Amino acid sequence: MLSALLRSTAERDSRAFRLLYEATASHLFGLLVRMLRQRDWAEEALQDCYLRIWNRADSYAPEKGHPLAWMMTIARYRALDLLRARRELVSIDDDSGRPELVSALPGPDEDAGTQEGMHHLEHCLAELPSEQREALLLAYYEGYTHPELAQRMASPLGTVKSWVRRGLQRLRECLSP
Amino acid sequence: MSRLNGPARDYLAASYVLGTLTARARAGVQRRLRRDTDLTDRVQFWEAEFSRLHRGRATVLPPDHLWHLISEKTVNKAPPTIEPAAMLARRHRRDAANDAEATPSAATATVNPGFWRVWAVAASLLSMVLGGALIQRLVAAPDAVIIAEAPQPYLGVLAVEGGRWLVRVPVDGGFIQVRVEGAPKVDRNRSPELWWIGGDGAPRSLGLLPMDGAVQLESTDLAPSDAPVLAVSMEPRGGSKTGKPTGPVVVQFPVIRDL
Repeated sequence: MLSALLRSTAERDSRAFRLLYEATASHLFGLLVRMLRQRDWAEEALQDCYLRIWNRADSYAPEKGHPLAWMMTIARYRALDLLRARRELVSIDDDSGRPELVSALPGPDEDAGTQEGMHHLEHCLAELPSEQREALLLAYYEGYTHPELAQRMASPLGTVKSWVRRGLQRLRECLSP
Repeated sequence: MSRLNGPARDYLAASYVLGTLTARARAGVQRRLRRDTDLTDRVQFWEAEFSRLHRGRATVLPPDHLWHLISEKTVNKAPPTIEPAAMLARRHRRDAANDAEATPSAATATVNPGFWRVWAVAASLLSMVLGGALIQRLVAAPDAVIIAEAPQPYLGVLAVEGGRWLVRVPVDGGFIQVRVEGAPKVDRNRSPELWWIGGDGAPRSLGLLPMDGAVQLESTDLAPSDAPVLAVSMEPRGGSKTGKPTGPVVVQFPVIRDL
């Protein structure tokens, strides 16, 4: 359904774009609020995202994954670009407006939609040592750089870097057929 | 980067998708993705895998007024005033090796006329002050303190015989606004292409310049710099095929943030 809406959006069907927005905006906004931590920034970023989706709907192809995943990637990259640009100006120990981290892994109930049960990725993540898993998930969900991760996890920078590196390597091995 | 072995390339792709890279490294990967299909494949692999992690995350309903703001810029916006130039720019972008998520693509939109009125006055004053000469930085770097609002955009005036382009580049990515004043004289077999030269010294294409009217170009991966430069080169029709300027640079301008 989302694929059809994206296709129609590419053909400049304004009703389809509206429906697409209504079906997906809360997902993108949830991500942006979590990563950017300031509602006004998230609101601006959401506008940027849908402007981009409107302009780029024709570049979506099914091999790029589920339409919502494609749109979430646009939102995540927009948030990362904004965070990186902002953190050049903002001291990284500024914790104002940063909510406490909620449970980093989706709980089993939250993933009840899958018929096949646990996906391969979650399985592979679960196999990682806890500090590697936590570093990867914090980076993914919160948009932290290595120094920010080190601060957040109260561990030396080199240690955190190697958690990330080893975690990614093990994930890659686990995900390879 | 091309000399990296498989595991190192994979780590770079994963770090890009994960988001642990610095702004500069991110921009480097984004540039690389336009012509490195192997790296693109690796990025797409990680994007597909990690996108699973969004399942079940909290959703937040955006305020109602956001749709109105979005619709004004999309479904309800007036037709672009200079569609041909924008189409050219867009086609040029599509010629790039791939269309990875972070690679900018050109887009058209009309520009708030009030903004241009103010900007045209500022540009005229600026031209008087500069007298056409290159200048060094006019403004000090922004204070390294917490800044809640968006940073000042970069402004540039690129004058050639017959006319000039006014360019506004947001610091944190998003839409670059370009407006033509007068009728810049350009060889009919050439396309004027706009370049950004940031801290890494490498020219980065922002797209083809329109010959009249106004256009918005999208860009998110500019190399940051204290004193970036905008430049215009005359390229074969449709723009540079190499990703670098190949024709003569007809004008350059060290951009400023404010008067």
